[in-house]
Amino acid sequence: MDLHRISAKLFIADASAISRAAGEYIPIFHRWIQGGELSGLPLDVADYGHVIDGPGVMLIGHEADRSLDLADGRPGFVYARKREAAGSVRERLAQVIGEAVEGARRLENEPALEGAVSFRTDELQISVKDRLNAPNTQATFDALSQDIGAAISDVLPGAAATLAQLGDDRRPFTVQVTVSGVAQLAAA
Amino acid sequence: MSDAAIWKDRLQSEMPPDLAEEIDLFEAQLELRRQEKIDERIFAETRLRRGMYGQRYDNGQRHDGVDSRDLDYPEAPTKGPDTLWHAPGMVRIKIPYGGVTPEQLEVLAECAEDHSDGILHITTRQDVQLHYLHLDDGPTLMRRLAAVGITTREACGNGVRNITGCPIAGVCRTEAFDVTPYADALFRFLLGHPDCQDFGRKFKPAFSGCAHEACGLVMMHDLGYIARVKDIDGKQIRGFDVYVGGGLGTNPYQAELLLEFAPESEILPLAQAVGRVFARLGEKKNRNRARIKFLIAKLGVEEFRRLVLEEREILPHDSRWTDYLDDLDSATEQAKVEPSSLNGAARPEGFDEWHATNIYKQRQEGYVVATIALPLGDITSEQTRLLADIARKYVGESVRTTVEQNIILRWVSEKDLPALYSELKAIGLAEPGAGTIVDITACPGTDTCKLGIASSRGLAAELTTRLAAKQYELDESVRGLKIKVSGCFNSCGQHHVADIGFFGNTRTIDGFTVPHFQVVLGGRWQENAGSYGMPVGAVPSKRIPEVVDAIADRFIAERESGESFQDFTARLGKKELGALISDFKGVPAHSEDMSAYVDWGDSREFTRKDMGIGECAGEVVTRVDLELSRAESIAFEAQVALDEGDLGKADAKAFEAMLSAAQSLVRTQMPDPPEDAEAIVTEFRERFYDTKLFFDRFAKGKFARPLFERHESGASFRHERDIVELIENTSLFIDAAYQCDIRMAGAQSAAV
Ligand code: SF4
Repeated sequence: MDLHRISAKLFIADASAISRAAGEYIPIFHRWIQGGELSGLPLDVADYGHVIDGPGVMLIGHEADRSLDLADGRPGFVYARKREAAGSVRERLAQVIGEAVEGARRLENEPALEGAVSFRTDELQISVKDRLNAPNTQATFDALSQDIGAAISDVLPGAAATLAQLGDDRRPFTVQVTVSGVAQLAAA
Repeated sequence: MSDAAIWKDRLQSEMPPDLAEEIDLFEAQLELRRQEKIDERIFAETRLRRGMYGQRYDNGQRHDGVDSRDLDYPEAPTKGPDTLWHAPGMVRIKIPYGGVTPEQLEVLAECAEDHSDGILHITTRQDVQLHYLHLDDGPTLMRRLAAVGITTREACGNGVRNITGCPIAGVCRTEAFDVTPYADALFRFLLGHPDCQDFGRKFKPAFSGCAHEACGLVMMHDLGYIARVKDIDGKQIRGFDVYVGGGLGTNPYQAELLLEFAPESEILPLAQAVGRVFARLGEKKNRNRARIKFLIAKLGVEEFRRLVLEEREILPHDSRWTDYLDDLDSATEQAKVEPSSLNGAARPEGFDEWHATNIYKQRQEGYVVATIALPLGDITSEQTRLLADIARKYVGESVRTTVEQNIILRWVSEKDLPALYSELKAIGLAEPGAGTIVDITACPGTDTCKLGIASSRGLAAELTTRLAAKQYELDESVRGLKIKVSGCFNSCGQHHVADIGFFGNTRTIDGFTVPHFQVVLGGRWQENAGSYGMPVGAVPSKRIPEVVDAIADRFIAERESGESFQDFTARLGKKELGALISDFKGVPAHSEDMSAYVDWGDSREFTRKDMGIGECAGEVVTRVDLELSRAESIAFEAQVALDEGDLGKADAKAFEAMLSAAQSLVRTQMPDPPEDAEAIVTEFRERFYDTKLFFDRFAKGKFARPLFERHESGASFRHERDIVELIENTSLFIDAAYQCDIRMAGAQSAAV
């Protein structure tokens, strides 16, 4: 299975922390670009905060997009790989999860947010937006479960993960991961 | 096998053959450009004609608020002048007259998710756009769409763009008749039509069911049809008033009447004749004067009419002109649910407000049209999928996009409205205020457009938030006003036909660039975009909300009984309106407060250094260049077939490539070149070989002979080495055709 369009979402612990317009994240993402500290080639910021349960504020990149995502009414940080990635599927999954954790950590430590945002450490979501190679079926779930579990352990040592496939076969392949054994992202 | 090849294989039998072939050709052209075997300008126009546009920063430069930085993309050939291969782009997807089925919505949603950022954007011409898309994904995306009958062909570039039409056609209370089947027939007829391949600029047609409402916006289109029924000898005969030469942009023109009451059987040939005259006489070099409106202004509409009618007389007959007329009734939609009335059904919270603005009573008793007001024309993939389910449940196939960047569901049985509202609300699609002052139209502007000067979407989002918060307190006269915003003078947001319009520009204040919007007041949306607004002055972006309030307050205070906003602004005049906004022209010094020097929805200090060179105008590429490039792609397909061991296909494709190149040369002397091999070869021989026009100085007629030989020998069994040689000779033939065209062009310019 040759997968590239893998994404990982970490959820914000207190959704009311995003009660104000997601527009607050626009200057933060612009600063991230200016700082030149992100991996890959970040390009621009796209604001979809006006769309209910949409992709929120996106930091568009060449290889991957990052976003303050509002989908399903559950705000979170998403790292979504778009272009070809190197390594095995497990390594690619680990790279994406690692970037999501890194982005979430950055937001937790973002001075402009004054500590208002923290992320849940007991769940995350993995998606693959590639209906050719990864339709949202039991077969895909069976084929990827082991790699997803292993990738989570690679990024969050000591974490135990329970996986559940989400949604019907019209949605992209999505797995809800319940995690135990991780106290906080900063320590992860 | 690559993913693209697997998609192709999987979808091959589901795509209409002509679209499948077009996509194969584009894929071959992509490969040729990757190998730098075709010129970047020709490839750019080829790409645009497949709907694949550039986006902001695709020249590899972006101002990040501190400095202008290079975007360090991987090395690759360009995809157009100053346009980097790996830079994300936009794809525009044609939705003729806005008609879209639930199945198509689902595929659009999947494509947005798998290839773009999960957002579908509805444009002011009823198209769908996906942004941040990689060029390499183009062919797969096109195949997925083609498999459900959607095309991106000629959605951009110098060709016939999407055909727009009243979204409520067929259910409208004031229309003469349903224009849907006519718009559909014209769309199919003009798509890829040979007579529409040599325009100097884009060409936008529109249909309207009546003259007085706004829906079709005919008066701002290059070619427009307004439906009429005429009593002739006691019979009700259908026809159209035909208009030409409308357009917005820096020089907005109202369309002029080309023909009063053209019979329905004439509308397709008339479009073809207009296309021929435009292709022949329209400006090609100066793209700023290349729209048909400039040609008509130059010639005068009488002379233009004479030329069109003269051309119409000599058009070779085409059965497609009228074939569809036998089948007009098949376009009539069937309601999914029996008609009913709302009666005393329980109404969920928020229903009444939504019902007051988002519902239109159909001509058919017991049915209504429900408008889904999309914020800035955006809808997520997930919402689109769920909307498809809702549409199936309540209306079946009857979904359309609108030029106000919304989506409508037609044929909703009235009693279903409360349930429909609740289901739309659950997915965030039940915002009230459709068609009112909060339903603001905006082009992409600086968010993604290379030509954007100021943030049209940022301003529209800000105004929507502010106005929505007080919409129920607004005076009724103000609630009905329309606001439209363009990011620059090119007018994609259609600000000329808004009550209150804005387009982006800048001013320098104390040495700093400040984003501004020019205020345009009193445009007429009704009467098919019946008149354009009056520019009254530019105001800093950040002060536009105050301007809107001031205009609204003045209108409420000084409006005479029953006076329209258009009459009000005309009565006040430019001077008075200019004075009204002059209070808002100042901004604090840069050192005191930076906010006016930063645009809406952004946090970077404003700059114009990010602007690129727009692709709206397409590339100035001759038709022969494009057709020869197409012949090269067919030759490339021959090579691929040879590599795959399919000798029969390789042979056929090589011959087809030579025929295509020969035909493109023949067309330079013969507007309607033949299509069959025998006739093409005969015409080519007589016009280019016997006359020695095709002859190379040293090789003489050598490069033409493989065409004659292959034609004479037919597709008899050939050895692999023969096919290899044929493909090599095909490349030489196409090269010689290019040289021949260059020589002829040189001879022509020398003769001028
Ligand atoms: S009006 Fe200007 S900014 Fe807006 S889409 Fe058109 S060209 Fe771009």
